Amino acid sequence: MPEVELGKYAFSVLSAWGLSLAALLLLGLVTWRQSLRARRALEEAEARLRARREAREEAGKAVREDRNDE
Amino acid sequence: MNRFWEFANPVRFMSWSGRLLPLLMALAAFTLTVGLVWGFFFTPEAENFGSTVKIIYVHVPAAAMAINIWIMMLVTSLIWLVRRHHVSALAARSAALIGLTMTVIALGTGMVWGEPMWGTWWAWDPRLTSFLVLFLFYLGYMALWAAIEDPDTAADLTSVLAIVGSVFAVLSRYAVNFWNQGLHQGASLSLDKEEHVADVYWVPLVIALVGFGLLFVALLLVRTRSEVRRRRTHALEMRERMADA
Repeated sequence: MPEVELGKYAFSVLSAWGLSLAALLLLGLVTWRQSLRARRALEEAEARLRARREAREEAGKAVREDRNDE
Repeated sequence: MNRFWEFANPVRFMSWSGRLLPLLMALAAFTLTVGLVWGFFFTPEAENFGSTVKIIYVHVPAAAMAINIWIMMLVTSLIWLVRRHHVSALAARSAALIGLTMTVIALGTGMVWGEPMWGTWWAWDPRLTSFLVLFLFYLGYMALWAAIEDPDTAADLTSVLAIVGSVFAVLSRYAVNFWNQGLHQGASLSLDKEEHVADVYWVPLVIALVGFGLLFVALLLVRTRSEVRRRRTHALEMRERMADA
């Protein structure tokens, strides 16, 4: 990388770039975290629903078996 | 035309956006890196602005995106109001935080740039003022979404706000053309070659602008996918609650 001479405006240039990159980085992090959280919540809800359905099917099967035994 | 609307189906949206995202992210990272590194390290100082001209590579793309994102929110809000496609309402909601961030960057870098150039951090100049109003509209839009529990009602009301706010988005874009008494310089990018910045700054600026645009689309897809998942989770939880009752 070539050396950049910012002279008397160094503070202005660096703070503008620093603010911009920090804001973009923060936006990226927030988006990534929200995405992970949403994905995890959906997986958990689907797993609960699956478990519930399986439990219902098991219960149904047990009832049918009991009836057959009778 | 009907095939186009099929892309708004949540299942199809999740499928195509999932396939497109890696490519978009790679393209955004590449163009942003090229545009910003070129702009910062390989462009000369300007006669009038000195080294502060380097702020242009973050200030102009952020300002352009802040306006364009609101226009995109207007379009998706109109689609919601007319066709009731949930993904379009969720896309508008997802875009708001990105638009707010771009507005903050544009205002912040503008203030930092204004201090050495105009001798003041802030002036009630038409473009600056219309941008501040746009910033407040973004805040209000996000607050409205957060305040209303029913998502369809929230989508309806925020869509109306998006229509009203679009007046300020357009005003922000053309403020320098409408009123020329402000401190803010004219447009940096224009179809008129006489008006826009010199070629040495123009090429990296356009690349940075494309990079910001691609970054926006990539972030928008990630955020909209999260919103679709959140809505699906909510629906499953409601179903669970009804089964328990």
